[in-house]
Amino acid sequence: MSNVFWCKTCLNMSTRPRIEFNEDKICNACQWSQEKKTFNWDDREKELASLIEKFRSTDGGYDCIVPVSGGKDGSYIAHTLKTKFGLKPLCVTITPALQTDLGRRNLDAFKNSGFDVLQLDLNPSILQELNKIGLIDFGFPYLGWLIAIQTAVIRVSVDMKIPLIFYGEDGEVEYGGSTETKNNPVIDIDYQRRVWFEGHAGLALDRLVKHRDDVLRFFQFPTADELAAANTFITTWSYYEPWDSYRNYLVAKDFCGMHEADQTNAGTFTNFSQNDQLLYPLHVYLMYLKFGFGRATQDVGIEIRRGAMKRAQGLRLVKLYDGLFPAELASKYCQYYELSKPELYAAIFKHANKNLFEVDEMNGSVIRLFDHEG
Amino acid sequence: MRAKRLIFNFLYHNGSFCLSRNFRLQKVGDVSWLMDNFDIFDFSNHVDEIGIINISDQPFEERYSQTFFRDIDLLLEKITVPVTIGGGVTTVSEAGKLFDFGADKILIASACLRRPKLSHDITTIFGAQSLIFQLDIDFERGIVFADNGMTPFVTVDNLPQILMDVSAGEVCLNSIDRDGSGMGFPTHKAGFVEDLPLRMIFSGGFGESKHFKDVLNHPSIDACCTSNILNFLGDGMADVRTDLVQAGILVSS
Repeated sequence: MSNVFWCKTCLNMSTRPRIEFNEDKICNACQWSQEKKTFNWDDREKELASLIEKFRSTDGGYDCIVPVSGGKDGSYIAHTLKTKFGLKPLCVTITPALQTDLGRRNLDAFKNSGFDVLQLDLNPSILQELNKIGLIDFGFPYLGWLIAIQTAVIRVSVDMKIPLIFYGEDGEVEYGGSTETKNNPVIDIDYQRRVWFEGHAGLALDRLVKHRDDVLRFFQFPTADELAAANTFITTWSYYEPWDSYRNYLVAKDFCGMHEADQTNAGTFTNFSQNDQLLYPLHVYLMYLKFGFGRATQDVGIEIRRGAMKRAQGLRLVKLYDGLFPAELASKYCQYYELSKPELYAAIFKHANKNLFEVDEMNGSVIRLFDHEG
Repeated sequence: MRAKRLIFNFLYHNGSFCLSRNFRLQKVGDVSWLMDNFDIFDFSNHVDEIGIINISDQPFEERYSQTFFRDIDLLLEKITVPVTIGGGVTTVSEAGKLFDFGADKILIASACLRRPKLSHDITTIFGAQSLIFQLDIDFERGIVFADNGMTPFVTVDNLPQILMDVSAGEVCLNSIDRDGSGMGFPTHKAGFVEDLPLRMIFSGGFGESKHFKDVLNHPSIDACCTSNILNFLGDGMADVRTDLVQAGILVSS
């Protein structure tokens, strides 16, 4: 506990994986947000223009792939590529487990705003098993979907010969974590495996392969030879222009028909992001148990960095909303994972960081052993 | 020079207190939630006025239901500053009902925009100080809207004439495009207010102290109004007031 500390600008915790702090205890996300204000983006803009010209289709086909869900970020990127650069993106979505009605409506609205969307409904039983392994073994309750939004998208790119893929932001750089792609536009598969999946994808898939003979093609990365032959180029939009998820939200609702939830989202104070699936609230609750910060802390960081609030304001919201267990969804989780309630709670609370929390697994109570710095 | 003021509006919609972003609502909590998370008595010591804006889209009688009056009564018991109530008022009689309930002022937008005579009828009976005329404006597009931002009404070029036609003690320019954004009020788009002999309130976009300072430093602006129930959760407005007092913009409460 004694070595846990919080960013002096936002409320990022030192427990966040791979996060870096300077000598003033300012996290790398806050340092980058300041740097972005005076950064010379002209060179990056030229890089983007050059990249687009290099991959622009010469036969009227798709120019690039944009993974989307109908949410703010993918919608913004697809809209910008289409309207600013005149590209024809193929948008790819992986249907999540326990998809919400709002998620479906937003995806439909996005399609209706003028995009081709390739929707992959992957084998639900494989997805469920990977998600369950993710929950029980790694505390990643939608690991299967997290894997697929990388692997399946790249598989589509290779198979359909559309080599350029634009992901949204690298959360490591924008929200705290590894800075290795800050000045490098290439998101290679090694980086995805190592950083985005934290090594869990391979382990989970290995377990699956041992007892299933289903086709796992969409859950596995293409081989290095396949990628080289396909000339695949995977990059993040946040490398090329200052990433602003609030701007993305405004664009998505103005131009792509995106709607927010009617109520405040579970575990945070906002209503306009990650609305497409019911496993996300569990994901961020587990993040809270493992590291001591939840969805509200993440959202507060975004708000502080974009100048919409100060740290003291954010702290009030974190204290009110962070780490609320989405109890109203527990029955749905039990049904989905095929676990009894005690089994579900055991699977969840075993991931609690004992240095940060005192957990009573029998009645599901969690006592926080730390207090945020004022 | 008139004293500058800080105003907080609670947005009420069918039993819920809400946050609005670009006039889209996020239900945050009911009156119990509000009482748990705001010490209303202390809160009202740090603002100059409080508004309760009923943004339901129902007709007056349903909008101002027994539930509304019961919920708001709980707040009024603890509020020590002038209270404005507004939303959906279309007649003098409806205005009278809100004054009878305890409103010190009422706020009207669409009805006065469509029928400026209503404002004269109300101020003739209740006095000019009793009415805030609110204009919901998309400053980015330069359009004034009616009906809770649903109906484009006129362009902002028409505002000087509209403001001359309406009789109200104060005018509130409410930014739809900055509403709930925490990006600050678009003062640079509201230069036309400089020559208007009216008490002006700017509303929309206030996320933190700096945004209030930027607006209240402007000599033509009398007051700032926010309804951001989350950014200013708890004693958030106390911090804003402290900052503005330290900056010499507001007097202490």
